[in-house]
Amino acid sequence: MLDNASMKITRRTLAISALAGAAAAQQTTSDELEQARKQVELTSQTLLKYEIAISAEPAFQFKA
Amino acid sequence: MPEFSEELYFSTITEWNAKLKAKQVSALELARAFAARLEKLGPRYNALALPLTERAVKKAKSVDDDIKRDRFRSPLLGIPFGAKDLLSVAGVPTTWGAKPYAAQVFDYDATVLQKLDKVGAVLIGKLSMVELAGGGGYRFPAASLFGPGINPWDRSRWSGGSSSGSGSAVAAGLVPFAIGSETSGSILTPSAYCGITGLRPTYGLVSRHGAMPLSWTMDKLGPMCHSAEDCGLVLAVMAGGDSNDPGSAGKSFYYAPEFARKMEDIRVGYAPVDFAEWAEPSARPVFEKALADLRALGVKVVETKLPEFPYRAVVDTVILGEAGSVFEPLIRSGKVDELADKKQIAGLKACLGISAPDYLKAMRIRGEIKQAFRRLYADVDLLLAPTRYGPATKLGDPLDKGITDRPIPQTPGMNVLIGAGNLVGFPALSLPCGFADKLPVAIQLVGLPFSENMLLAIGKQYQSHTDWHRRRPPV
Repeated sequence: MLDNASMKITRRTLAISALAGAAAAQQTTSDELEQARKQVELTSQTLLKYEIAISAEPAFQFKA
Repeated sequence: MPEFSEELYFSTITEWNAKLKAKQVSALELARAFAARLEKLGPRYNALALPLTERAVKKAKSVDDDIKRDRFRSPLLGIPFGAKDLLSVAGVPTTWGAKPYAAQVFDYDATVLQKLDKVGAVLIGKLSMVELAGGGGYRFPAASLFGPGINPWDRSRWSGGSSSGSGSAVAAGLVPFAIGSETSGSILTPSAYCGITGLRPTYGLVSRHGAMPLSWTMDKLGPMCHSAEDCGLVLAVMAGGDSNDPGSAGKSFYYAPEFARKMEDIRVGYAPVDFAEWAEPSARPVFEKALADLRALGVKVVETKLPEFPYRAVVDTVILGEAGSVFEPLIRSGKVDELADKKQIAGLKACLGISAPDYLKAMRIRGEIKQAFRRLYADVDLLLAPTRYGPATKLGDPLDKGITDRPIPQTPGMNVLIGAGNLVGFPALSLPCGFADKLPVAIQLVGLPFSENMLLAIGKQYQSHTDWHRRRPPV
């Protein structure tokens, strides 16, 4: 079995690691929302550039 | 309380089954020992969502009655397990890892849990997860009602998501196996980061009735275990048609490694750039060794590449479009703001802006991707790539930062294989293959629909020649 006994971590280090993420996450929601909407728009443009045959149907089936 | 050695908690299902059959241990002893361990150590990794000890003890007692009469219905009889908290269990909270659903209670068990119960497996607890299985896209591992999933190999690292608790609980020997779910990487990623074996089944093979929907056309449930063989044993119980799941393929799965094709007859496609450039430098020697070990098994390893498509745009549009519909009431009610991750809140709100033409365009391209994959698989039986290009990320690191410390490779290799494989609904197996920076890394094998037996046969062969799946963290 792998000897990992030297890989100890203190509670303080663990808390700092976890809270660093939480602190950085406190951006304003409006900034985040603007970025998310921009990403949806970029994704839409990427799809638009892809040419597809008019006969191609979506990848799901309706079953009667 | 029975006294088990630390090493015993990492036994495989096959090993526990032998001990139960030989009456060296009872189902009740097993359930009590694992339930106590899960309750004691689960919080250390933020892995435990809800202990179900009382229910487990009751179940184990009835299983012992069967064992006394030598009625062994399945290799899973008497084996304790945990389930991701997106699966409904009657009468107790099913939170989906998210604060807005913290008090949600269903009055029925998910189909997979009913199936596991029927063969005598013993559910001992619900396991933590990323909120709403990550729907909307999250930036930090802390995106969960239970806090960030902590990796048993290094507690400053993430256990991966979204099946975070399933990954860390199996890796730390808190449960012999767990059920996870995958829409795009949520079984494979925590399996790789935690050094366990995870199987994403073919879309439709396992019923999702009773599981949180995120993306109806992409969601799958699968086993996360100590070995490929264990994955086969669990999948055989989980799989099967279900009229309650509109996506059900109506097929069963029989684990039959004895009928596997010869290794020499199997062609495995890979992209060298994955191993030489996309992989993190510390992991490259490990992945190269895994490639060499697979060659040594006799399989033919050939260079190949994925057909060119806008995979990320298609994956994002399909998942976000469907998630937007699933969670529209949550978003419009404003309760979405109770989620832990700001990026995810914004991502879910933005879902409502995805147009019907964009969603349908993505689904039309998806059809072409499926056809192109079929053509690709005319030349190979499987695709091979690193599951993730490096070991688990640090708990505080943003998950969307990408490569920042080295040039981005010029050719894509199979860096989109997780998304692409999920789009086409193909099964995948993640196998631990070594350590980089003292953390586990893994390779993934992706096969044609319903080729799970082939994936598992190679996995079993690989694990009979290596011991990476046997390594365990210092718990």
